[in-house]
This record gives sequence, structure tokens and C-alpha cells, in this order.
Amino acid sequence: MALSGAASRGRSLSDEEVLSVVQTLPENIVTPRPLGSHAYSWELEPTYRDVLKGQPWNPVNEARLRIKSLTSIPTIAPAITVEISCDLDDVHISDLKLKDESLSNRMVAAVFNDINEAAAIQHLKHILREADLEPSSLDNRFARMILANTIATEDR
Amino acid sequence: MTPASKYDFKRVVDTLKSPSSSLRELAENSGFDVFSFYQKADLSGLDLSNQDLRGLNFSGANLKGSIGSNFEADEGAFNGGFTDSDDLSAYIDKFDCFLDDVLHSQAKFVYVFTQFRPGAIDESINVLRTTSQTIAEIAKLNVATVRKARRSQVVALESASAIAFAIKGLLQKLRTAERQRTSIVRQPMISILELPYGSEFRPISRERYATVLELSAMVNTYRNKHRPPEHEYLFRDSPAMLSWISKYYLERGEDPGWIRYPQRVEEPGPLFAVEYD
Repeated sequence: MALSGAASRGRSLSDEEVLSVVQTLPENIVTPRPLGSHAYSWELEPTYRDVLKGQPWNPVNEARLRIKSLTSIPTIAPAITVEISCDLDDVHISDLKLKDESLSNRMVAAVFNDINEAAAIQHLKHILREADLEPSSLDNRFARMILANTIATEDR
Repeated sequence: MTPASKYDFKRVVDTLKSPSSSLRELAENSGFDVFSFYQKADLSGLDLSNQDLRGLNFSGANLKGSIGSNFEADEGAFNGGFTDSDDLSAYIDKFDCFLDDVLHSQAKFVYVFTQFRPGAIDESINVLRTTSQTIAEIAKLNVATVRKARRSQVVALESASAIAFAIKGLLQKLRTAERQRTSIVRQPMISILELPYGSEFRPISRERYATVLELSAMVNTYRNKHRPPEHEYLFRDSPAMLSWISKYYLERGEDPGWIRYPQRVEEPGPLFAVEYD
């Protein structure tokens, strides 16, 4: 036993433990919602209520949604848009770190009357708005937040 | 070194670290449109004292818990904002519609009237360096009508939209450098009035006006679909009438999908059913 231990000392550890949790995701709830008088929309709500960690499914092999259009999908105005949204309350960002230490002093000092913070938040909202990720008023935790927005194209 | 693009997050950090705490300066440094920068913003719990807020608009902004004294702001800048402080609510008046609102294509189907804020057209004429004669010529109106609007008397919505069209046209002609001090022209300055039956002119809010336009579009689509548009240009629905029609026609059936699923609709029955013994 002792000999074998001495022999393996020089070797670097090459094995790595990979823990993969395989779980069947429950189905989605699909709700049709008319958007005005001339447009349709469908809301897909997952019934999986826990915190998602990592990539939950393979987007190519197990697509969540396929759109079958009777005609060719137009690339301009009446196109099909796919939006991913959630409540502000549901976003957990746990690994935030301050890169600039000079900011932390400012943040602690200005608890009340932080005009700069309000302006910075508004600047971020404008950036989001021009990227078509329409931010609602993010001042309550039930506010709707759009995470991604894309236009469906034809799969050839 | 070229300044960072307005989409660069460095700009956001600059805003956060900026020694200035003037809302207007921060908006100017952001690179976005200064006038609309704080629309729908969350400005709750701030002290706006001694700020120069001219050229800013706070429509839809959350100003709850914010206080302020000795600040300067354009007239009507806080219209449409949400506030609970007497300091700011003193700046809110009934003239809460923008020039664009009366230029809405659906507005000509609704029986409403308009009124300009006293001094708003004077101020616009002053800023745009024009005369009421020029505005009347561009708007194809009688000068007397422009003067009437200028005196803040009730005018028809067509007159208001023609005047708005003229003012916006003159604003476009100005050079960019001159356009900076014309924010007063972009502030809300029009009040929409309804004329209920047997009553006097009554101002309606901008939200109510938007609802009325939406209802009018729905009702007109319904009419064009189900019956010939006989009175399209002769008859206009008042806001109260539109509410009644939408309630009667659109909420009657179980399925509100009156456009999406064309179906045979019954003729409306009598309003009041008289029962005899």
C-alpha cells in the first residue's frame, strides 16, 4: 500500500468529478392572449417554480416552442417576436462585486437624495428601451422585466 | 479621445460618480434627449431643492416622497407625474396634453374641444420668433381663431391640431442650436374638454382622452365591419356616448372577440323595456 502511494505522488490529478442532475422538466402552460385587434400572442409559462441553475435544456434538440407559419414569415413590420420576461422579484443576482472601490464610499454616503443614482438608473432604462427591452417601472418587486427579445426567422 | 457612446456603461458609471447633482446636467451628459430623459423615471424620495429643471419633462415619473423648494421648472413639466407633495403638485394643472396628442388621426372622430394654457401660444410665438399671422397662414386658419386660442378660449379640436401642426413645423425649421431653448414648446399645453349634454365644458384627463381615442377606433372598426359608414364624417361620438356604445355593443356577447371572430350580431334592441301587466 505504501509503495503504490509513493508511485502516484508525481502524477497530477487528471480526473474531475462531474455531477450532473438529470430531471424531467414539467410541461409549460400556454395561454393565448390577443394583442390589440390584429395581432396574436401566446404566453408560455413554465410550471417549474424553483430556481434554475445552469442550462436547463438543450435548445436545439428539445426546443420549447416551434412556430409553424402558413405563409412565409415576413422580415419587416408584422414579424413574429419572441420575448422572455419575468418578475423583477424572480431575478437573483448573487455574485455582485464592486470593481471600483471609490464608488462604495459614495453609495454609503448618499442613502437619501441620490439624484445621481436615479439618473444612472434612468440612463440604463433608456439603453434597454432602445434595445427593445421595454423596462417597466422597476420600483416594485412585481414589475415585469423583459430579459430577451428576438425576431423569429424561417428555419431552413 | 472620443467620448464614449451613449450606450456605453462607462457613461452610466460617469453619471454615478459625477460631482454634479443637477438633474439637468446629468441628463445633458447622458447623450439622450434631455427633454424626455426623466419621463417614466423613478424619482421617488428625492430633494429637488434649488434645481434648475427647465427643459425637462416628468410625465409618468414617480415623484412620490420627493420634495423641493426654490426650483425652476417649465409650466406643465410635472403634468402626468405622480406626486404626493404640495411643493410639486402646485406645478400640475389641467393642461396636460402635448401637441402630438391633438394630431392623433383618430381625434377627428371624437366630439371634444380644446383649450390652450394661458400664455402658452404667446410663449411659443416668442420662442419661435414668429407671429400669430404666420401661424394662421400655415395652419390655414383665420387669425381670429388663433387669437382666440391664444386668449385661452375654447376652440375646436381641428383648430388646435392645425395650430399644433404649424408650431411643430416652425420648430422643425429652427437650427439645432436654437432648438435647445424651445423646450417650452414641447411641454404639455393643451386641455381636452368634453361637452356633456345639458352641461358646461368639462376638462378630461389625458388618460381619459387616450381611452376615448381607443374606444373610438374600436367602435369605428366595428361600424365599418357590420354596417355601412353612413355618418362617418357627419356624426361624432362624445366620450360619454363612446363609453355607452362600447359597453352596449362590445361587452354584450360572451365573446369579446368582435373583430377576431366575425359573427352575426343582433340588432340592438330598445333601451328601455316597458312591461305591461
